[in-house]
Amino acid sequence: MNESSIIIEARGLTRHYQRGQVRALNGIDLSIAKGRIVGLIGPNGSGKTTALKAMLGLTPYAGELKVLGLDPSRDRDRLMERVCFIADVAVLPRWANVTQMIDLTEGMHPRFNRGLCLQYLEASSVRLDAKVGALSRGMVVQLHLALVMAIDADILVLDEPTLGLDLLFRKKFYQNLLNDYFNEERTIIITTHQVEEIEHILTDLIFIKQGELILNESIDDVMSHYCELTVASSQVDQARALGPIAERMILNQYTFLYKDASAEHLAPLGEPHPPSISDLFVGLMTNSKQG
Amino acid sequence: MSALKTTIRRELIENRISAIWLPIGIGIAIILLMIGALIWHGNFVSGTSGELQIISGLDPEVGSPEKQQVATALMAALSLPFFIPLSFVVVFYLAHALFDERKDRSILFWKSLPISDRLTVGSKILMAIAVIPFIYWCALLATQFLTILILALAGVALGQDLIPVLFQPAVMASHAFSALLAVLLHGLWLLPLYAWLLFCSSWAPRSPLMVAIAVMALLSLMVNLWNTFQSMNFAGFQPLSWVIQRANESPLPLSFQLSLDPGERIAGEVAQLSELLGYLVSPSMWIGILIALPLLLGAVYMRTRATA
Repeated sequence: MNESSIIIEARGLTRHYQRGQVRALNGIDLSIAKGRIVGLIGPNGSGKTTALKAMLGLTPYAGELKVLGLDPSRDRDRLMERVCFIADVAVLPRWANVTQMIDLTEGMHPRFNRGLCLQYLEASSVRLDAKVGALSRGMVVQLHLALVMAIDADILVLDEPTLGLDLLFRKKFYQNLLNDYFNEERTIIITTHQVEEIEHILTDLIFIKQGELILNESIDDVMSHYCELTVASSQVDQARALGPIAERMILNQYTFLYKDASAEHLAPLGEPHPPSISDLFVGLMTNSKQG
Repeated sequence: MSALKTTIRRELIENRISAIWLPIGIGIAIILLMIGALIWHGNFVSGTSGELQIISGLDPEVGSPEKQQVATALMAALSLPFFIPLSFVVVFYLAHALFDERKDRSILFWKSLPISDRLTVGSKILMAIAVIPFIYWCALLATQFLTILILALAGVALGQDLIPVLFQPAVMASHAFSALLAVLLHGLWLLPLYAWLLFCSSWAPRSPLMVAIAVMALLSLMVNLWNTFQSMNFAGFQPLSWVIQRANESPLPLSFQLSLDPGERIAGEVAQLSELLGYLVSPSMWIGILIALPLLLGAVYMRTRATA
């Protein structure tokens, strides 16, 4: 990773709750470069939202953290000029109408492009005179995304952005994000439980478990380090002998997950294939010592 | 400056019913009542010197000074329907100003914009001490003007030229200025109470107004218990009675000079103005502002930590 392209850097990032009894982040080190789409994946309570909140200056933390060269805990206002986020629980205020939301965002954000926002909304089903409180959840997300995408930000953080949306909205959401927003100057960080929906757009993958990173690699590296092998029940013992980091059995077929396994050794048992992110996630989460 | 204007605009949109439509509604209701009274009864009601008087305001027998006195009394009476609701509106506004955004979780949207917590809290306290009172004052002024105009036009319809009698620019300007000064000073005078409400609004898990009152009541109760059982007591420290006393000493409601003698009236107005300006140099005003500052900083701190 090119040093000059690093836009988020954490060293020993720590956040404890309840006088240290709950360790949301346990001294993680992290570097994220610009022009990447990073998936931050973890089970509930793993610390991913806390990590995002720390990067956004929304929660206190210990350790070193720089986002775009700024300290989020001290320079949050300046940081927010260059970072946008859609938080998992964030909703737009129900008392405003769509035009008022555009006016207010324009007045509060120096890098907001009104024309671009109207352009995004034209392509959606959101009416300008509609009250936010009268919009469906899907429409609120469309409006929120239009407002956020019209901001010329360097980093966009999405924390479960499609939670509660139907499949059509979810597909459209990521399609808009890729086609209309993402470019090599921008970085997008996404957390979601619906991993399979974002795996084709990610460039980097971070798995977090109990406040610690158990995987932090580019998708290319992940695909070169990890592979899966599906074998018949008669070959299970041979496959196990090659030291898989996880295994699963479906309909009498065994699938093993390997890290840095030699293709030469695997070949006699079958055709190795790259794991899906969800399978890799399940495999590493159930056996995190191998991450 | 643009950000401050936008944050004030946000507050006005969110609170448009209580901050804008309510004073306009009060004004319209008063004017409709007055027109109704003129049409159906041919007279109007005015309160002077504490006693209710029904006079025929358009009676040709009533002299000009008396008519002017009636107009002044009417203007004075009109201020109450505006300033009493104003106090309630500001109290409820502050109690919910930082609570509602946490309750509906829109705080995370606002925090995604480059607006500091200081500016957000500052804009909310500015709304309470200046913007909302100013809107009510404008509505009062417009209602007073229209009321006098309707009365004068009714006089014209009955063959009396009351316009030069009832429209007294100097008196009206003096009243308007005193009323504006009084509503703004009222906000500053109650700043410690306002800051307390805003502080409670920034952290109370529910019912911020009840929490604000309950904490004060609890403090008063603890002080009373302490005073009962200990030789050293804090008899002077009674938060709830202190709030009531401070509200009673506020510049509002404003008293108006109803004297028939112009010299006496002007002297009264000068005395009133000097009394109002006296608030600015009163140590009690500045002690209140000093009490308010840490509470406002506390509200900023709590908003910084609040994420939903």
